[in-house]
Amino acid sequence: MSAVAIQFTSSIGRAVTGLVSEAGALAIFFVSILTRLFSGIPQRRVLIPILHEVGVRSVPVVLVTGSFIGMVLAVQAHTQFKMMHMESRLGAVITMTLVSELGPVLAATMLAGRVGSAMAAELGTMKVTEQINAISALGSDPVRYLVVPRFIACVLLIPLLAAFGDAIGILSGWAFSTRVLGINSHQYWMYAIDFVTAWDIMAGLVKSIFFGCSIAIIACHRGFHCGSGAEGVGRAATESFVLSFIAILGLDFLLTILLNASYYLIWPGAVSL
Amino acid sequence: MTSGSSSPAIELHRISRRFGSQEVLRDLNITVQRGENLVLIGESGCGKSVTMKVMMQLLQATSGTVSWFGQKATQLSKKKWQATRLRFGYLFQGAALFDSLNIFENVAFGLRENKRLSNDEIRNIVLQRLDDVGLASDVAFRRPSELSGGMQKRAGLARALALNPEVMFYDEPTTGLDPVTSRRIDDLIDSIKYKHNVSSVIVTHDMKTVQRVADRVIMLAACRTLQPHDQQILFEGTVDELFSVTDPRIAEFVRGGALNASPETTSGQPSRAA
Repeated sequence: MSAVAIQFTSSIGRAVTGLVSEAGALAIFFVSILTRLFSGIPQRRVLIPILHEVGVRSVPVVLVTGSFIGMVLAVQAHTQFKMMHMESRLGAVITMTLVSELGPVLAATMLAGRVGSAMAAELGTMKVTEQINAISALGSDPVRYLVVPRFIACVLLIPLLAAFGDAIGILSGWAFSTRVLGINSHQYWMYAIDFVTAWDIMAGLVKSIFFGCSIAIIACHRGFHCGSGAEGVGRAATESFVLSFIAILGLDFLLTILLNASYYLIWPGAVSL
Repeated sequence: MTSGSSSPAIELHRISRRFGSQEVLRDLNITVQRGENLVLIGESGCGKSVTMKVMMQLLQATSGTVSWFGQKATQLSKKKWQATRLRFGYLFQGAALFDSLNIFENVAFGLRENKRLSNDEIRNIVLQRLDDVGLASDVAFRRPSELSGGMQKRAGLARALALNPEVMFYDEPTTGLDPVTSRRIDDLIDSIKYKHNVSSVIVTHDMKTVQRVADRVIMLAACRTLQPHDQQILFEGTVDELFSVTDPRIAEFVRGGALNASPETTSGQPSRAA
């Protein structure tokens, strides 16, 4: 075997080992969060500021994202549907796309950037400046004190923010469709309600819970294990976003397959949009 | 072993620590007696801070045992381990105050997390500890970023003292401070020892601090400079013995530090500050 081939093989081996090791570290970190989560809920004075930071301060980002997605969907779908003389069904396609797929994924992506990177940078700075060691030295558990409240905030609020983003997207899609594209308002809502089922809404929420979970785990893990100095903190924030984004896309794919399979298992004869 | 009151506060037995392939601590045996001020000195990167973190179990040793008050730390139940750890206080090099909390909440942190106290009781303890370290009560509601380096160190000290520790760890307490503030911090370390009967482990490069606060001094060598069978502890003894050592590795370090900083040593004889 030539030197180049050996080098190539060993670099693949290193990458695979690194990936497995990273997945293992995240799994162990997740278990350590769960064990603390079940041993007690964080104090209100710790939880409330984090809920505010993750939830309230993310509203503007989700508002802007949701608005534009709704309008873009209206423009794109209108062109295609008009060729088939089905433009009256814009409400169905906008609502369906937003609720079950685009809304949760885009909201989670935006929040991985806004919330996840900020968490990784904050915890990374705390690690670099020994504040995490200080928590431990003062008789508290850093994972319980720092990670559990962030995990709870992400798991509870990212689905809510995604639902809020969906609602804004549907409204902005409706506004653009009816005011600019001339779609009948009654038809917009009628098709939206006809085609979107409770299952679709539930599927979107389930996805958002998993996305929130993965953002919190990845961001906090990166922060807790960041390298030294400003470079280490910067890298932790970047890695947090990139890994969260990959996790969101991967989870979206897996959950879509799983949820579709579950749907047809429960209702074998059902027809979807 | 029992945990009688005569047993040392901390014992390190054959402690080694590696970071990947880098050896930082080698076969260290160190005992911290109750009520003494032990100062660790040595060149940068020789493992002084790592030794202190291993003592408090903020870092785990690669091999060897750590005993707290006569009991092996690894053999303690989780509850006992946590309770014993609360008998230690740690002043970090950069003070490590929590940015998101004001000074009051920083000092109150350990109390809120570990004790069931009313807000009034917490308030009294916090203000008392701030007073102990010479900080006015109006500082309590400022953020750490609004304080000078010396004030941050003192706030960090107040936070560490809030839980009434029996052993205090000081990681370079005077680094980056002006001579007047350094002197104040040294005086505080000494006064804490007498006022609260606290044992202290102090990591420093500052020979003035060594002279002012040390009962006993240990000088470590960096493992990278040692031969395979060399001991990492270059010197162990009193301040007077330290200044009379002829080993060039120790003498150069001590003289360099003393020449840089010490009017006390220019007369040739090291002296202890009151």
